[in-house]
Amino acid sequence: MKPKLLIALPVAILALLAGVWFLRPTEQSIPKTQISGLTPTTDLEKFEYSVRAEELLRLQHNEMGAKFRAGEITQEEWNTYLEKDFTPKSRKLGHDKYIFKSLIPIPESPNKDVVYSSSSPDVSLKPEPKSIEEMEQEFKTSTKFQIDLTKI
Amino acid sequence: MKKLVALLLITWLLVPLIALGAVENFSDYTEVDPGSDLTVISTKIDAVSVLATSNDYVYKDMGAAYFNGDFTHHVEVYIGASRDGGYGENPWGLKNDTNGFPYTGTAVSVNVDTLHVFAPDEGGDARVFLCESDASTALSYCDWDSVGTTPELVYLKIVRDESVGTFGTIYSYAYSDAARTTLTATQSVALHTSKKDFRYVYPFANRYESSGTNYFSSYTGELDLAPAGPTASYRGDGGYQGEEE
Repeated sequence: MKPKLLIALPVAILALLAGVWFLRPTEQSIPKTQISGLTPTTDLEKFEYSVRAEELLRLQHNEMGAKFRAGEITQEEWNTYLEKDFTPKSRKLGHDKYIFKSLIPIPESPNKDVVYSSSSPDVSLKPEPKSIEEMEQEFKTSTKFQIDLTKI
Repeated sequence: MKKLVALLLITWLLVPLIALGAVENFSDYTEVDPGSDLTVISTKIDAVSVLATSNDYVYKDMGAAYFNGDFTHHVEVYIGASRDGGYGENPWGLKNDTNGFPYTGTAVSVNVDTLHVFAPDEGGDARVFLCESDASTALSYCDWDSVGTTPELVYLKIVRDESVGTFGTIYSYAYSDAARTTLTATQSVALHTSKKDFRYVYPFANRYESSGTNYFSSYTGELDLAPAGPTASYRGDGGYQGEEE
């Protein structure tokens, strides 16, 4: 092996390693949803995400509505908010919520095979699973995902 | 001559503009009221103690395929108490027949196409259901939310946007104020099997059942089929129909 190559090869490898190390993702550059592995992946998680995002959008809408009623923003600003911000996001989230909700299987009762008889009157029933509607109500206040409404 | 031109301009331009944003006159609607439960005046349909077994409804023939493509409608509904709970009126509905909204036991009118809102009292809980009945699948698809405590006056904005999803999506926005600045809940249904046109609008329909003793009181008011506003003509693809307001 030529002496020049003996020097150049380790230098190139070191430079490559240094470059990889320099470009590694730091904690600050990773979205928070990825730090904790909370990017919605399953249909249930996507449903939860849509429900929570729609609820945040509703609260934002009502904040803007209160400002409009108080005269803190003009009619034009209120209209612009509705046209450019609220409406397109609401249309997307409402559709997504319905689609993901319809993909979730209806929770099955753990007691469906329980047979009642006079010989075993004290059979204990397991708690029933939450209905999709109950889940939806809970998801409205979910903190599982870091949702940035400006990116929807 | 100038006065004549001015008069013509007012007639041709101003009157249609006023009519465009006007609420519907229910006196022009057809009332079917076998139970004599309804009082219909120009802007309000009052329903008192409507029995489950009374096939009461109010409708208007708007012409074939009048409701095609995207639309935005405003309507208000007063959700009163029902005797046994889980019961109330349909304050808004679209169909292609004049048979009202009979309930089959599992869903509303599943063998015909409808879009409708059902606003029941559920043991003191005022609810809004947004539903599509699809004849092709013989199923009814609904989304619902609690919107307050009965009696509750709810201001609805109902939107169909055919650019969202395969066959369009329908939305019902429930507000607590007439100016629609405080949103209580949003319901949405991605529509099924085809893009459908409708002919008849129903501002009131009982969810008619063949038996039962349940009854409710409520009213529908201020139906506007072409409301003015910033999002009345919004399309989900980012475009706008007609001129922006």
